[in-house]
Amino acid sequence: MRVISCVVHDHNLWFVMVAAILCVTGSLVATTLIRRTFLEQGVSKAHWCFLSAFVAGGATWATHFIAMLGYQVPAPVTLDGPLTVSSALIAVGGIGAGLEIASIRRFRFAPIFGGATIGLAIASMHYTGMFAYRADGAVRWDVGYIIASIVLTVILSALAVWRLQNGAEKGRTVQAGLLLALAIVGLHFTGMAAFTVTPMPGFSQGADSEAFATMAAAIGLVTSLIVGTGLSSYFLERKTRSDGETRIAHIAMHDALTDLANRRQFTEALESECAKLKKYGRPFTLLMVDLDRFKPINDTLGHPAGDEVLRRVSRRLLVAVRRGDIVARIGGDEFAIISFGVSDATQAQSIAERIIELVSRPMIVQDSVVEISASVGVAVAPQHGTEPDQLTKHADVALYSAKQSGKHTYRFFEPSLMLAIQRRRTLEASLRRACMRDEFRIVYQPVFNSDGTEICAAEALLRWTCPERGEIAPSEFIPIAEEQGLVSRIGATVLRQTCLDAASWPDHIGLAVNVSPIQLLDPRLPQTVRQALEGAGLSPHRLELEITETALLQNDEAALKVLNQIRETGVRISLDDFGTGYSSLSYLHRFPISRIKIDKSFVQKLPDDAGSASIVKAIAQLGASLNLEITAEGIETSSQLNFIREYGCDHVQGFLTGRPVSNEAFIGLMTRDSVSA
Amino acid sequence: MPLTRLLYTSTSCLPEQNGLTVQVNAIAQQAAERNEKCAVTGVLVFIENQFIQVLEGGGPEIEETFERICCDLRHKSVRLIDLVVVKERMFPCWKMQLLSDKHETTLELRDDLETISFLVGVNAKAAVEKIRKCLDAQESTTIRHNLVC
Ligand SMILES: Cc1cc2nc3c(=O)[nH]c(=O)nc-3n(C[C@H](O)[C@H](O)[C@H](O)COP(=O)(O)O)c2cc1C
Repeated sequence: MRVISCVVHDHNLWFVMVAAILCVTGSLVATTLIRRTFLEQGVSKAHWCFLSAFVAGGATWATHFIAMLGYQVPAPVTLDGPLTVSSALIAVGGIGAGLEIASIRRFRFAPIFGGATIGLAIASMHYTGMFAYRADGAVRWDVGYIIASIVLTVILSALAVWRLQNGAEKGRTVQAGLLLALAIVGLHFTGMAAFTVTPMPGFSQGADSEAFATMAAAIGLVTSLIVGTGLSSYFLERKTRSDGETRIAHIAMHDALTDLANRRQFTEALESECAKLKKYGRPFTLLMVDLDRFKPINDTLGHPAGDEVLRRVSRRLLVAVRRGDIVARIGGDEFAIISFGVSDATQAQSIAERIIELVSRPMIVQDSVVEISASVGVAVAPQHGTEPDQLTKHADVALYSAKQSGKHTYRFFEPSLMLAIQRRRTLEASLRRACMRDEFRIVYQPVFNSDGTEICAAEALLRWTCPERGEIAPSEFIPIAEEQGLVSRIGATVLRQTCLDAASWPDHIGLAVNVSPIQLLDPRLPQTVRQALEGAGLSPHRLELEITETALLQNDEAALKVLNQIRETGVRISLDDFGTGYSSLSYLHRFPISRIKIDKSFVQKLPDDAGSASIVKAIAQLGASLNLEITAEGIETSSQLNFIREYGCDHVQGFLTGRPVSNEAFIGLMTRDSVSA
Repeated sequence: MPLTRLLYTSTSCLPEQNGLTVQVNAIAQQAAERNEKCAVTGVLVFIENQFIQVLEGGGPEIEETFERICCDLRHKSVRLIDLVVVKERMFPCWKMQLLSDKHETTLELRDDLETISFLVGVNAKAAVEKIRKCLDAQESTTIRHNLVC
């Protein structure tokens, strides 16, 4: 009761109100800062601790002091300057110490002890302040109230600190702040209740209330500044930190080079999209994009140019997709796109078409013109899958199929593609095995003079029977061998074996062996050829290597070098499948070619198809004037043979004159041939 | 700073029903405004649904402008015909002059445009020179935009 009457009767209520407001706001800000302090470590903890102690101590002291100034005593009052200042320092220092104690780790009661220390600091501040307060009168202290005030503030402070570290998250700072405010206010008024001044008789003049009001206002203002500074430091730091966190989050989710989403963000988005699909049935489309011919750019123009190309591609992809779609870079030159709400094939198709169109447009990078293109695989959810893994796999399969069908195109996923890929996988594995175990067979197709009467050579053809899938056509397994890097090895084996076989044939019978474009780029090829010839003791002029135009297209300088070396050993070179590709006449001139083989697609349309007929005639004439020998492939009927003979091809080969047969059978053919001749 | 001239062709994807003239005008207008900012000059020819454009300016500016053009879905089949370093501009005074067969054109201009369209496929330099001649002939009828001159 004394406490309440002390507040109401002995104090000027205006002062009390200012003190209370300062106390509550100061405490709330202080607990906010204290809470932050507890989260820190090391040097920044010290900074936060200082700031908290300063704000809390300042608020406590100001509360006490302003309330003191509002204390109405019927006696003249003076204030001891040094003691008043010390009381403020005690508050700040004591609270700082309390905070340090409260944050000792691995000590269960640290918050209690720390809080109690803070309480003691507040009490010491108060009573030191009271000693500075000199009233001219009989001063009496009530020990009971003093003890009560100290116990009260210690308990409340301890509770405040404990609450900051325990209990529900909600309302934590506010509740702790109010507890702290209660500790401060409680101490002050209980402490003041312990204090009575009886005026000396004769001195009935009261305190100078006007000067006190000015002082209170000044202190209030300064304290508000301190509290405000503490608060704004807190917010400033929080903003900087959250900016930093936003940036770190951005870095974690984005590709540094292109600023597109990275694989991680893509995976998360795909998962959440699959979840939404299941929950709300919202469809979407997944597109996998892979750049064609990107590697050569890095190799020829350098990595900075390659990086610039990737940035440009990213921007173009963003133009190609619809607003809000996710475009991610998930690998060196691989991109993935999630297109929301797209379920029908025409929509997905137009996005894929736009991607291909935009990426294939030229780019100027570092003064060079760069032309690339894109292959796209499309999987539509839910038709092609509802699980992230499945969709990704299916889009990849579609992409693979787009790449297989000549690139610069898109493919939708189809279940049949899975079968094709499975077949391809088995073939790859068996081909590897076959390569190790020499499971290939070589057959020989006889080449006749244009009468079709006399065998002059044989073309060696490779045959392979896959244990799982049966007989595989060379047109299917050779590309796989090329891709798997097996072709040079197979090629060397074939050269060795065929030379050995041919060595047992009559001397006038030539041998033709196909050489793949990849082999031709291998600088070891001339060496391989020489070794095969020497190993079998076959004369070089009996061997002819058949190359295709595509081999010359890709890297003609390197090819030219290899071919010249081979030609120098006496081995001849012929150009296979002539007429189907570019059929550039400059090749005939630049490369050491001694024979052209007219592609069977023309021969088979003879003699009725006028176009094919004139092409065959033209090639035959070309051969005559350039002094090249001409072979017509794929002769199936005698009218074709007659036509060919009439136009002066030198040799013929085809089912009509002789199918490919084993070496033994071929030897048999030749003996029968020579017997009948 | 080396000057660069670029020549490219493309096929229009503008929907016919919205009035081609208006749309082509808008492209040329927008282009002129952007080009002014980076001192790029040139001509845009529109004939039989095909764009033929010459751009002149600093290397990086041409690179940037062409990249922007390549991000535009209002045309397709963009083919870069020529990219050369030149000593001086052939079109210094034209921010992006439009020559179009869709506008009220004289028979003579129409003929010229056809010649240009043919030349682009065979000889880039000749095509650019023809465009310049064509502009000079037009000079009396079109407004001359002064940018660099
Ligand atoms: C045929 C054609 C020619 C264009 N020529 C230019 C040009 O010369 N300069 C230019 O800045 N934009 C040109 N544009 C427009 C750009 O492609 C693009 O739309 C424009 O720069 C707007 O870009 P913004 O959205 O980034 O501002 C052309 C567009 C088309 C279809």
